[in-house]
Amino acid sequence: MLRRLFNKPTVSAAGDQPAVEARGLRKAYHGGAVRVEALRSIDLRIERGELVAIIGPSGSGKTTLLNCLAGLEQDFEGDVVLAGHSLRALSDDRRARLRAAKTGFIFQAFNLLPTLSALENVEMPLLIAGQGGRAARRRAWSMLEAVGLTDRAHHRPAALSGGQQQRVAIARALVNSPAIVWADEPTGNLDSESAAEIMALIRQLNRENQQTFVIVTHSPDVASSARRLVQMRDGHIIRDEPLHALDTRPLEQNVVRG
Amino acid sequence: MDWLTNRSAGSLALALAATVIVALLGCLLLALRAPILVKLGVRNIARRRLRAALIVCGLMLSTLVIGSALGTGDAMTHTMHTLVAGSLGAVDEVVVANPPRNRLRERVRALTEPGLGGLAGANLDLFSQAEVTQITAAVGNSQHIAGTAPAIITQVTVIQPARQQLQSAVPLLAMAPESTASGAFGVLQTAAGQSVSLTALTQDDVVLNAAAAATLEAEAGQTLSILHGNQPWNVRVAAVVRNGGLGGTQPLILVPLQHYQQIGQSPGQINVVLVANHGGTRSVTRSAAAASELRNSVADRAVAEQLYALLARPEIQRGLREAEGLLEGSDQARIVALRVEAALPAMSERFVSLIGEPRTRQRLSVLAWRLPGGAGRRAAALLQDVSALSVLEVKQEALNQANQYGTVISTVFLVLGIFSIAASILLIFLIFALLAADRGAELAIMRALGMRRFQMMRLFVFEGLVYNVLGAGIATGVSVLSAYVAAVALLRALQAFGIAVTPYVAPASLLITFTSGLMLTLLAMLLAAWRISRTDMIAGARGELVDEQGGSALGLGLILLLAAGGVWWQWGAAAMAERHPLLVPLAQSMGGVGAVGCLQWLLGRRRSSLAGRTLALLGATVLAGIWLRFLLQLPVTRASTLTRAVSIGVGGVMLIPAATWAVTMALGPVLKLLERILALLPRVQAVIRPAASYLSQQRWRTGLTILMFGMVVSIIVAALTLIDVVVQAYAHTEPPVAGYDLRVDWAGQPGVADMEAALATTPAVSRADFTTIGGVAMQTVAVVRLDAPRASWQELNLAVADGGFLAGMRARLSHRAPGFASDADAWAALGAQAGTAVVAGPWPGADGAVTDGQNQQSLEPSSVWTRPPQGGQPIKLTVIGIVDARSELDPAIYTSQATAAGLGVPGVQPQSYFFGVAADRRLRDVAQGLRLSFAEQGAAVTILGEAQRLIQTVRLLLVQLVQGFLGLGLLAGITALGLLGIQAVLERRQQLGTLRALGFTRRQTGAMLACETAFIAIVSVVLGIALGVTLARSLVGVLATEYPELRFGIPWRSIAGTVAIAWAGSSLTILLAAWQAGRVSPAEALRSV
Repeated sequence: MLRRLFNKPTVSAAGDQPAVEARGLRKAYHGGAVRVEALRSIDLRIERGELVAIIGPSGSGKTTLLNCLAGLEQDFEGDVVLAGHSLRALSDDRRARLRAAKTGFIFQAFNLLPTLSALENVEMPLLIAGQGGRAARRRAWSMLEAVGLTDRAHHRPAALSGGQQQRVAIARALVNSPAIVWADEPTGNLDSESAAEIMALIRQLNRENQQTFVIVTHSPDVASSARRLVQMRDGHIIRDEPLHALDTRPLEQNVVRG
Repeated sequence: MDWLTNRSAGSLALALAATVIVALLGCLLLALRAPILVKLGVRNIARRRLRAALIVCGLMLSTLVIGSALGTGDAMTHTMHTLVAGSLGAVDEVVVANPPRNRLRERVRALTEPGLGGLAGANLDLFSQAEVTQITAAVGNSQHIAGTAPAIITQVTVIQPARQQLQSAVPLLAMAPESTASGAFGVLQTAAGQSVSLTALTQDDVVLNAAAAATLEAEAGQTLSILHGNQPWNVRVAAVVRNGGLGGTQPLILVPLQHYQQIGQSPGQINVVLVANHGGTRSVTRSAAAASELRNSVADRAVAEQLYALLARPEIQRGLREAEGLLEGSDQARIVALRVEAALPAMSERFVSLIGEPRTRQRLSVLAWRLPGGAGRRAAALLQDVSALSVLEVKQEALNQANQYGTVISTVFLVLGIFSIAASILLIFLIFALLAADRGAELAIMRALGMRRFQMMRLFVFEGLVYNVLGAGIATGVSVLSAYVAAVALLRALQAFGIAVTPYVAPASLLITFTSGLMLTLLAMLLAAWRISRTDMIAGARGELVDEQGGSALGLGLILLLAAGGVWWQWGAAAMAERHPLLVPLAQSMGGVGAVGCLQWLLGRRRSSLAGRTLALLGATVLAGIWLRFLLQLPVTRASTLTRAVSIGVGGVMLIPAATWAVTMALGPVLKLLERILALLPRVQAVIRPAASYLSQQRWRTGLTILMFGMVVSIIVAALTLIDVVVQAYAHTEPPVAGYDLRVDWAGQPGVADMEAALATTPAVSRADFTTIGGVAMQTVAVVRLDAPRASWQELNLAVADGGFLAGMRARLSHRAPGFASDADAWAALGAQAGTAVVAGPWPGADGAVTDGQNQQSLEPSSVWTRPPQGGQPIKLTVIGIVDARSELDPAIYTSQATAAGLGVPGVQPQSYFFGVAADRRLRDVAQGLRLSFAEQGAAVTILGEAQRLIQTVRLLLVQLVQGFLGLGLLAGITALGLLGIQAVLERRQQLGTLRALGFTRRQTGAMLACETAFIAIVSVVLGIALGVTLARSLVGVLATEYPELRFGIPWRSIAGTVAIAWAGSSLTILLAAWQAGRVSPAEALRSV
């Protein structure tokens, strides 16, 4: 069913153009007289179809990295090329349009619009991207069907459980067939069973449709579902390697400490 | 608004202050028991300073409205009090002769124009000085009356030879010198402190007060010439005394009584007895008691006994009791008191005093015709005979009028301000709802930790109290400033007419402002805090918008139902509807709301389902229908004007929420429809969808905002419509008084027989100065209309006009008989067709005023029979026109000299001449020329239309003040929308971040927020305009029953302009918030909680 839904190949015919690439990325926050270097000269390339987990302790800069890569942060040094577009060269409006066309988001707090129903929430990215009418409604319905929530289509988020809300968020993130999906702690507010379900769904989408996922997490269990691990500390990437070579060992052992 | 007129401001201020102190002490006690709650509540103020400032602004508004209204009224009251005290000096009451019926207007002027100047211009009749002996004997030992003084008071023309100046209408008081010796009327002293006694004056000496000396530019020792009739009386100014005491601050010439009696050849005759009370500056407080004693002293006891015996009869008592119901307020109280006194076993002093009181006599005379049998006629005759003298409480009446001016202004502003106050109270609810929504998670945590609902209430009350006290304090100060500005505006307008308005705010008003504003806000805060304490905190803990759920409707519904039943049963609403029109719709509303409440309770959890919402919509629509019907039918009910006006205020306050409730319940489907229409434009739909869903989900908040802004818009529209109606009715620029500019009167004196000939020889004016000249002679005739229900001979004025008057007359006719192409033709017909007449003044069946020559009504020519009062052959007059009610023509039946001759009233010399001044002449110069030319004949020259211009100036100025006042209400609306917009941005920051992450541009974010505000603004404006026009239409309908010149019309341009300003103001605030929201990066917005 999912393959049917995603009949548009997610691997670009443009060849080896990465999904996103960061070059010399630096980001600092200013809190009064204090300057905090959140990212220190990050170089990172994520290919299409990858399932990447960015892991690190609290304050390591992983969410900041995700925000910069996704075009949510404006004020940074270096460059980010997202789906072939340099973010530094784009105006705020064009960045927004790029996000609408090429990206999807899954947040820890689900971030569904509380006054819209599940179906309307899923439909929103299509409307923003300029696709409306019955086609958009059918597409949104299909996405809900794919995540198994058609019986809740007309319920508002307040009437859904956490797991159900996150599944709606996943449907919303995927509805416009994005080139890349950004997930910031997607299981942070879920119980272990729901978290496992969500990660299984993500893996399935990545495997069957070559959907690119970038997941920020502090949970080793979540990270172990990925195929590539990027470990951060103090604004640096201290480790970046495929995870398949470490599949047989508990993830904790793969994490560089010290 | 009886509480304003019947209760002293001082006691009200004290009562409010006591209430506030008790309330604050209660809050203090609660605070001391739980200081942590104070800390939790108050810490937010410093954390969000801008929001705190906005909240304080919002809370200020109700206090500002009250303070401005009271302060402006105080300025007027204080000014009028100063005028009264200055003009009347030591005189508290006067005793004068009863004037003939056709000179009642002059009597009224004596009561309404403050000061001895008013009395001097009232042309009082002479009576015997021996009457004073009787009065003095009766009140000689009175504990209220300090002294009495027989006197003659009149107006004279004075020539100042040294300066070649002439001054007309200068008050002259001829007083018995021995009366001043007691000091009851103050002491005459020069500026140097030297005492002056009237006893020491010689035959041709006069004393001037400082005001007269300034007016005449005269000094002690100079000679003046006073014109008395045709004879000049050359006098010497013996002394110039300080103002105050007798005469106050108005110009006054003082002479010994006997000297003036000799000059006037009226020995032993006076026209007034001046009375001063004990009590110094508070002498007026004894006025009622003093007047009662005086009336008892001048009454004919035998006639009073006859009247008492008549009114004591059972059938007359019944008749009086029925007739009382036609009166209201103090008039009713007087007649009730009279009836009660007449029912006593013996005639009381109070009865005698009551029948001597002018207003009681006037009301009883009117009601007498309703008494059975011939009792009415007998009672009317006895009332005429009970006393030849009247006692007038001149100072008390003047003070009452002064208070009335101030109260009217305060009342008008407060009635207009009711809606602004209501909007301010709704704003308080909004503010607290937003505060709660902002802290949903925080409150949920506190509830989870065990905080009880009452403690949560206290949390908000403590925070709100800080805002409240700050707001009330600042607003009190600002309202003083706004009252000062209003007083300065009044001063500028009235200065030209010699009225110096003094900015003044009474301490009691300041206290009332502060305490009432604080109490109103505190009560609203308590209710809002109670409501918050009952909201769903679990939803708040999830960071969701707090969706307030209502409590059980059953209790409220049952109570309202019971109340409705009680109202119906207790007061028999339908039977009382005519006098108390509000009872029926109130009872219906209670029943309706109660019924809907109970049905919703039966629905239980399905209250928010489609069935529940449909029920609520139905209930709201029915409620709105009840009040709309009430307002549209109100003008034709028979309740008093005041009752109907207050009912309109109440009806408006009920209709607006009901209509808003209905609109809010219908919001969801309308917005869904709008979204479907926009489905062809996906990017637009993407903007509209979240906006529309937010509005329809947050029904309580949306409805409250629509209600508040709609209320403000409706009162602005209603006020603008009223202003336009008033301006259209009164601001037209037609020439005053029917084409004439000046008037010369020879009251009581023979005038000029042939004015054209006289002008050929006058030194200061000539015929060339005038375009038209006309003469009128007033005669008293008996008139009867045979087609009237109770046809009887009545004495009326007959104005005999010469050909010049009729040819130059341009007075508009509100009614005109067919066959005349214009009003001028109708007037001309009086000269051409004998037996025709035009009526000025009240006339049965005619209530017309003409606006700009339109809406004239056709008149069926009616016949009246007239004869001279002393009897004779009656002749028939045909009335062919009725003069516009706004005209300054004296009330009379106007006809030609030829017709009057047929009545046996031949060759009557005009006592009044009317002049139209040539366009190239200056009006005041020509008026002065007439004064100089006819001074020796004692002529009084009046510039016509000045009083009209004064009234018009004041009216238009009041209109401007009202417009400024409306700005306060508008401020409430804009503040509310601004607060809502800012809060909407702040509390949904994370959502806005999500939308930006999904691809919303900054412009789309701003557009979404702007759509929300725009939608509320559009709905509020449409609702407000519709309701405002309904209110205005109802109010104009009510006022038009007394002021028929008021005609309803909608000033679309003014409304559009004001609404545009309101919209621009509110849009500015939301756009600012949206711009600020757009500047924040999506990542930062997503980090918000």
